[in-house]
Amino acid sequence: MMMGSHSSRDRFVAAINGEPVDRVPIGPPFQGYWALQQAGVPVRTSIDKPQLAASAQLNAVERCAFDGFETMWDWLAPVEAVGCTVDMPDVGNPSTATHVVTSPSVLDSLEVPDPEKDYRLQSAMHTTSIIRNKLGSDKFLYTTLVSPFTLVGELRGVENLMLDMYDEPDFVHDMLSFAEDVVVRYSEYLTSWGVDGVILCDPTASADLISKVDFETFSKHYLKAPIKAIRDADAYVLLHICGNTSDRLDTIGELDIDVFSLDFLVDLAYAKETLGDSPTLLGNVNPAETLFNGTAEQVVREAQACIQKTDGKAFVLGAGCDIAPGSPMENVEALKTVVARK
Amino acid sequence: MKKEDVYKKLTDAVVSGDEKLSTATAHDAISMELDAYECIQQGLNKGMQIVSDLYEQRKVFVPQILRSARAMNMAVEILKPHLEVDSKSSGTVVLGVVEGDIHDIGKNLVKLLCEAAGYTVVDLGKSVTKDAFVASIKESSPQVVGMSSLMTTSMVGMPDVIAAVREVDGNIKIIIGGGAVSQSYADTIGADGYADDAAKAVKLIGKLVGA
Repeated sequence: MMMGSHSSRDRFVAAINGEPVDRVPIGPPFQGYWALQQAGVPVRTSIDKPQLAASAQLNAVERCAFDGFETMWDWLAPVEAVGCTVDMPDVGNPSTATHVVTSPSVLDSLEVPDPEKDYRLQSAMHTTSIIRNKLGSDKFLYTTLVSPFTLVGELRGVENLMLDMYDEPDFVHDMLSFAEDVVVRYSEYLTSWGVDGVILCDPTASADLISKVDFETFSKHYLKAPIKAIRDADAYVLLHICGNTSDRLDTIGELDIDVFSLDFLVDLAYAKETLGDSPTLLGNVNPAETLFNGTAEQVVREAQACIQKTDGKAFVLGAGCDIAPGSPMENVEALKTVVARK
Repeated sequence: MKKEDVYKKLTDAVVSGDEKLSTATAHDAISMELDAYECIQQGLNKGMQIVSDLYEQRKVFVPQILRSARAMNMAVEILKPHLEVDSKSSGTVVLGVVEGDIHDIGKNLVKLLCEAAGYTVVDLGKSVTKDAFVASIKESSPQVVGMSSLMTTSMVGMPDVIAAVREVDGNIKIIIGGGAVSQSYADTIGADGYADDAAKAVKLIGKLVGA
């Protein structure tokens, strides 16, 4: 081997810097809800009992040899903190039941929530601290957080937002400015936990929903302040956008991010060709077809193809999106056999 | 103005998402005593079909579809009282986003396009439980049930819903869609079909009900 063995964290950081690695690192990128389901911990219980939430993650991380992973998966916590009511299922993401911004005057009355008083964030902080105490600095730890555009979609309702973008763009920019403040405040708080990075998620900016021009105007512009806040805290910045982002990779590449997490719909070879080695790419084994529904053999083949397409350089192997609850453990574990062969 | 010109104006108003033009033209159509049903079919629905095709090609996106649907619906409201008979429904479709999913935009697009194509739609909303699907099909006896899941965290509930629907009525066609699922997932869980966007979903429904 060319170099001594890396720790998981060093390996992840080397991949971020485009430096040689002893093997390709693995980052799920989102294992939280899957690991809870594997351990039989309902979402509400995971919030009430950080110890159970942390154990569920540690167990899955150890079995799957993840080099980096999310210690907070409750990325939609600000939605409830701002004032929406939410439904909490046993498995998977909480869903927004009522959208708080029913009019511009409601927006004026909203305040940026204090993360210290957000019970879901406090729970995630405890969970993160248990995980950190257990693992020290062996692994690359990150927290998952909603981006401003997707947050506005939850506060206003996605359809209302989509209509507002053309009916009342000024109102949309006001909502986005508010959401930007919320995400900056949360980002600053999350980085104070001593994690290595924050992964911002913008599923509502998917290319299935909005055009490239609208992406630049309404999503990208408002990602800049949270990205700066994370960077100013000396943490790494990761970004995930769902769907086929091929048509907008060039503009995503202009953002000051360390890692771009790609959905399975994007061809990694094309992404590499477009973006080069910066940002580092993370992805993009098909989470539904392969990890959830396929066999370990299929996972191996697809993961090998991912590594080939990127030469394993400035690359982190993971799924294209959330690892779905119910995905067989042996399929997720198969990722580690691929990188071990290198 | 000839009636063809009115139809074309309605079509254009829907394509451009111009609700002022669509409603003004609907009023024109009524003062000209044009057949309201023909105005909807030849004018408005045709516009929605064009938008639907443009979305399939990613030449327009969700904001444009929603604007078009709004322009269409507002004109339909004006024309409705002038329909000579209730236009015959092409069939009934029950739609819902499976439990645990926060995203319902794809399902809502399917609903809009289904209604434009003449189906009666029972919309169960998002995060719909198996029991809610069952209760709804008992009540509305649909030809098709459509389930969507944008997030991988929620698609795992689909097989249970399929089993429950089949138990109530084995003839109901079940289709799935949404970013998290695929044709092969549809095959594995025994769904009758899969579509990767709203426009294709409506074509698929047409095929399944033999329209």
